[in-house]
Amino acid sequence: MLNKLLKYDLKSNFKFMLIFYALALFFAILTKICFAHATNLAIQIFAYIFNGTTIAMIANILINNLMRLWVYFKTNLYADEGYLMHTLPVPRKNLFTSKFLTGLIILITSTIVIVATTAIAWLTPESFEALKNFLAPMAEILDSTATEIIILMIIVVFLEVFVMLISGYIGIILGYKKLSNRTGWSILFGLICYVVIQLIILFGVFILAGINPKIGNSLFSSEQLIPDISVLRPIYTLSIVLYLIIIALSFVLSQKWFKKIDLD
Amino acid sequence: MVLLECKNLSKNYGKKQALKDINFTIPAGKIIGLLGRNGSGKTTLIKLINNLLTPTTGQILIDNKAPGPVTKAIISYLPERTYLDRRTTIKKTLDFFQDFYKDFNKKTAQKLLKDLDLDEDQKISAMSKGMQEKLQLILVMSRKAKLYILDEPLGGVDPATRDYILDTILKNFNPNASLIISTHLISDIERILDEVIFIDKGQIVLQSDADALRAKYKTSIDAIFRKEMKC
Repeated sequence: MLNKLLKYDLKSNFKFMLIFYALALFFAILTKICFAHATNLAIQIFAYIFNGTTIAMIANILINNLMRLWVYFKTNLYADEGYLMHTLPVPRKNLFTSKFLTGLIILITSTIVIVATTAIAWLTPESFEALKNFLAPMAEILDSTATEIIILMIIVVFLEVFVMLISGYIGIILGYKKLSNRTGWSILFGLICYVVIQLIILFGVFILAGINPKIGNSLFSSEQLIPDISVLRPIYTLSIVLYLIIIALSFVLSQKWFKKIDLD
Repeated sequence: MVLLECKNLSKNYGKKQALKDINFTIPAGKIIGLLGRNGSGKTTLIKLINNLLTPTTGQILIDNKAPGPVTKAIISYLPERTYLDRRTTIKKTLDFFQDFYKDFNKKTAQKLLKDLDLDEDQKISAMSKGMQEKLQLILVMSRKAKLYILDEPLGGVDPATRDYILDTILKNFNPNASLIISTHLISDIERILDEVIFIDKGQIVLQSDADALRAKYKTSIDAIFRKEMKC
């Protein structure tokens, strides 16, 4: 039954998101074409308009994703539609798992679309070379490549956004255990959850700084004003590991809290 | 054979007690009227049976099982609100029901939709509230469930529609199943009831065979209800 729920949830969400994906890619192509053929002022003006629109579309995908997924979670499981979903002959934990996987799949797709949009609109051999040169010193210190650094950054940002999504889900689950002002409580619990997760990550970095003096000096010493870039790799690695543990833990706890519900 | 059993069931909302120590059983093959005034606890009881609320104390057994996926597969529930995904079409809603309920008969639903002149490609958001309620009734009654639970199916509809709803229920009702109808519009459903349960202030005040009750008081269930539940 989980695959049926997932199919239904994905269809419901992708139906809207596909429009935004298509628009982002469309404006990225227009930006590319206009900048490539900006031989006169009129085309240049169009190029800047499309450029701005593409940036807006990328922001829109990010914000729209989170907002839409939270609203969908709330309306599908706690509003009128919840009467249908919670009376389906499926284990309640599957309802949550489906929403969790839907969020994950949509965020992965959105990340791919954002990267593709960015590449189409602004990536040229010259800009790629400039980016590589910009990241080269960092790559050398980290004993890595520019591409690896970019991928690492994308992974951390993706996990950060996914944690935001999960915090929202947990907020809704806990908020709807209250008897009144459930939306208000949901927002409050979601914020608390997000702050707690960030504090756990920071605490992890503190511990790492205690173990590794190089990180400690780089982050907390008043004598070293320019941070040592080489400490980024262990910090990134630790953040990714902590994010994954927190996401797994949040999933288990959410399923537990989701077992008992009281619909309006 | 007992199909539904509630033992010492209570539900509190904070300090407010919505249901107090409810005990009753429902046998198979009966139509039961769950009758009470507005706010008497009918919907709370129904939501507990459907696992939409968590009981404060007590136990519910449906076909000897605690509420869960197995019991949801044998209960066909019509809530007192419209619960369908408004962004989709009737056709997709039928597919959804067929996907999740093994006992859903799509042909029956399509036939009932045809009787109402409803186009399957129509979007639910484009339908009036009344039509959405009829669609929900069709979906619920197109299942061959063991227990049908209809919460206020007649609430807020005109007398002609009430007749349509009752006819649809009776024509499509699985005779081996039980049906619980919650309402305060007793005169409209009185003729179809086998048993009645009166609920007031969260407590069951009377459970009886409908004919026996009429014979005892020599009047209609509606009149008995009005007398017993007088404010």
